[in-house]
Amino acid sequence: MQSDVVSEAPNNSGLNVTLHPLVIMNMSDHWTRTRAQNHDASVTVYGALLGIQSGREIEVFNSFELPHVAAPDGIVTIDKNYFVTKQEQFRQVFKDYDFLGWYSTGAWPTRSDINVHNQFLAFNESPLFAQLNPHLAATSRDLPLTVYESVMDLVNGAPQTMFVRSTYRVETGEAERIAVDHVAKAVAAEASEGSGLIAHLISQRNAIKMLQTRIRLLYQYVQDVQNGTLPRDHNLLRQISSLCNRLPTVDGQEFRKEFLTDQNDVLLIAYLAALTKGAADVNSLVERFNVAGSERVRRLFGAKGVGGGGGQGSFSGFPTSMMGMGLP
Amino acid sequence: MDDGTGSGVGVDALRKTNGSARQQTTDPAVTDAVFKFDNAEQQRAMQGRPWTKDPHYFKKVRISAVALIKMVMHARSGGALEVMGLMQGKVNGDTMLVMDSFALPVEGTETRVNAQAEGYEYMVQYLDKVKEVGRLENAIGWYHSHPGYGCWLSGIDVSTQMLNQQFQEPWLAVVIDPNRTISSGKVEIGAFRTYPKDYRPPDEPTSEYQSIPLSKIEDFGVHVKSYYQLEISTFKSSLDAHLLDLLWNKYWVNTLSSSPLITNRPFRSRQILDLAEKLEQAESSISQHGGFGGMGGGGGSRGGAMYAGGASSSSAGESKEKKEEGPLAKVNKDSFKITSEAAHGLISQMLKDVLFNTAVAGRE
Repeated sequence: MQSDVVSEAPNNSGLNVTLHPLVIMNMSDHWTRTRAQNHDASVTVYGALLGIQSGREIEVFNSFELPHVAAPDGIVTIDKNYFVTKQEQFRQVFKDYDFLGWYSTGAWPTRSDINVHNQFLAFNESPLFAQLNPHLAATSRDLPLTVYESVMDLVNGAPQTMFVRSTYRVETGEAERIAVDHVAKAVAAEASEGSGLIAHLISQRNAIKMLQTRIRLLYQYVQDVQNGTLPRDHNLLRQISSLCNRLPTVDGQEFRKEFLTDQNDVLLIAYLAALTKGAADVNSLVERFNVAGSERVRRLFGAKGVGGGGGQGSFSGFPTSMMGMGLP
Repeated sequence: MDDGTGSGVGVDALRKTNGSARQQTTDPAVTDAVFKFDNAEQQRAMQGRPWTKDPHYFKKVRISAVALIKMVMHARSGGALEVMGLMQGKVNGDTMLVMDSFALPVEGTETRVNAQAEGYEYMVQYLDKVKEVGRLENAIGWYHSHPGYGCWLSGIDVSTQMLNQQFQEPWLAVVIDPNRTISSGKVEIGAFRTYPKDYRPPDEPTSEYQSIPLSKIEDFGVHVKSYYQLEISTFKSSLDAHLLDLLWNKYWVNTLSSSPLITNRPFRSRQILDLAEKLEQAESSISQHGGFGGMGGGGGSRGGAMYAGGASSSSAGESKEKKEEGPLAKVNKDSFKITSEAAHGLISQMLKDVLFNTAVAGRE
C-alpha cells in the first residue's frame, strides 16, 4: 500500500544525509521499552534528531525522545515545552548540535505525520523525518528506515505539504564503530580473549567478503547486459566504469614512501619488542640461576659452618663453575 | 535473567565461525522483558539492602547497547580531556543492569573530572524530564573516561565512589578508555565498586595485569585494594539485534576505510615513550637487586659474602616475585601489546594495499 502524503516526484534537493548508528539504536530502544511498558505492539514513538548541518551536508549524530498526546480523533500533539527544555539540556553537553528533524515509528507516513511535521516547522524550516518500521526488521534485507524531506505541492489547486523520499548513508566514527561491533558480536569478543589477532582478521575478512559480494553483483550485471538479458543502463555502466578506472586508488611516489616508512616503523617496534623479550627472558634465567646457586652454597658450605662473610676469597671460582653445572 | 538477551544474534559470518552453539531467540516478549521497568519489583529487590551485609554483593554488570554506544562516543568526544556522565538502570540479584546513560556538562581536565553544583542541577533536571518519555529507571551509577591510561579508579575516583556508595546505593562506577579502545579495536571498559573504608579485602589473586603509565602508577597502586571489578556483559533487544545485523550492510565500509595505524600515531608514540621510561626504571631496579650484580661481581670475596648472607632473603624475594612479576616482565608485556596492536594496523594497511593498489598492476 502506498501513502497518499508521499510525493513520487524525484528528489532534487541535493541534500546529503548521514545517519549515525546511535540514532537508529536510540529509536529501537525507545520503541522497545515503550512497548514493553505498555504491552502493546502497536505503539508509536516520537523523538527529535540532532546533528550538524553545513550547507547541503546533514549529519545526524544523536536523538532524544519526545512525549506526545494523541487526541481521540488521532491528532498527535508534541509537547513543545519538553522539546525546548530538552534541547537546552543537550546544548549544554554537545554545543554544536542543532535540531535537524524528527523521527517516529510506523510503516508509511500518514496525514497525522504531516500534522506533526508542521509542528516542528517553528524550530527548523525544513526538518527531516526519519521513519523506522520495527515490524519489518526481522524479515527485511535492508534497514527498515526511511528518511523523508518535505515539499510544498499543489494538490487540486491547494498547496499541501508532502514528503519526498531522501537517500541517506550510515556513517560511524571510529569509537562508535568499535562500540557497535562490540555490541553486535558481544559473545565472540568474550570467547576469543586470548589473541586479538583472530578477532582482527575476522572483522577484516567480513568486510572484504562484503566488498566481494558487491563486486560480484556488479560483475553479474555487466555480464547480463552483455548477454542481452538485461537492458542497457548507460548511467549505471558509466558509474561502474569510473569505479574500475579509479584503480589503483593511490599509487604515487609519496604514498609509497609514506607507506614504507610506516611499515618500517612497525617492524622496528616489533624488533624492539623482541629485544625486550629477550632481555626479560635472560633476566629471569639469571634470577633462577642465582636462587639455585645460593641453595647450593648453603648446602655445600653452610653445613660446614662457613657462615656470613666468613668465606673470604674461597668462592672466587664459584660463578664459573656454577655456569658449567647449571646449563645442560 | 534470561540468557537470550545476552547471547543475542551475532553477525552472519560470525555465527558461522563460532559454530551453532548460540541460537536465535524468536519470542520478543521473552527477550525484551528486561526493558520493562517495574517499580514494585525494584522496591522488592532493594529491600533489605543486601549489599550492606556483603561488600562483595554485586558481581555482574549488564550494559544495554544504547548505553554502551553512548558512553563510548561521549568518552571519545572528550579527546584528551576526561568526561563524565551518569547511568540509569536497575538491580536484579547480584547483577546491576545499565539501561541508559547520559552525558553531564562537566568540565574535566586531563587528569580528573569532578561533578560540581551545576552538574548536579543538570542531573536532577535530566532525570526528571526523561521519566516523561518512559525512561523510568533511577540513576544507578556514573561513568567517566581515562583517555590513554587504562580502566581503574584513581584516588579521587575512589573517594567519590565511596561517598556515593554511602548515600546513593546501589551505585556503580564505570571507566572507559577511549584511546585504548581505538588502539586495540575493542571497547576498553571497567566497572567497579569500592569496599567500605574499614574493610580489608581477602587476598585474592591479583587481577589481570594492565599497563599503566609511569606517571599514574603510584595513584593506581595505592588505591587498587580499595575496590573490586565487576564482570561486564552487554545485552540488546530483539529489534536491536536485527537492526545491528542490517546496519552491518551499511557500515562495513568503515572497517576498510579506517586506518588504525594513522589514527593511533600520537597515542602509540606516547605509549612507547612511557615504555622507555619504564625500561629505564626496570634497569635500575634490576642492577640494585641481587640479580645481575651477583652475576657480574661474582669474582671476589664480596660476591661470596653476598651469596651466603643473602641466601634466605633472596629466596623470599623469589616467592614474592612469582605473585607479582618483575619489572622487566611487565615492560615485556606492555611492549608486546603495543607491538601486536601496531602489527594489526599494519596488516589492515597491507590488505588494503593489495586490494586497491596492486590489482591493476597484476593485470597488466
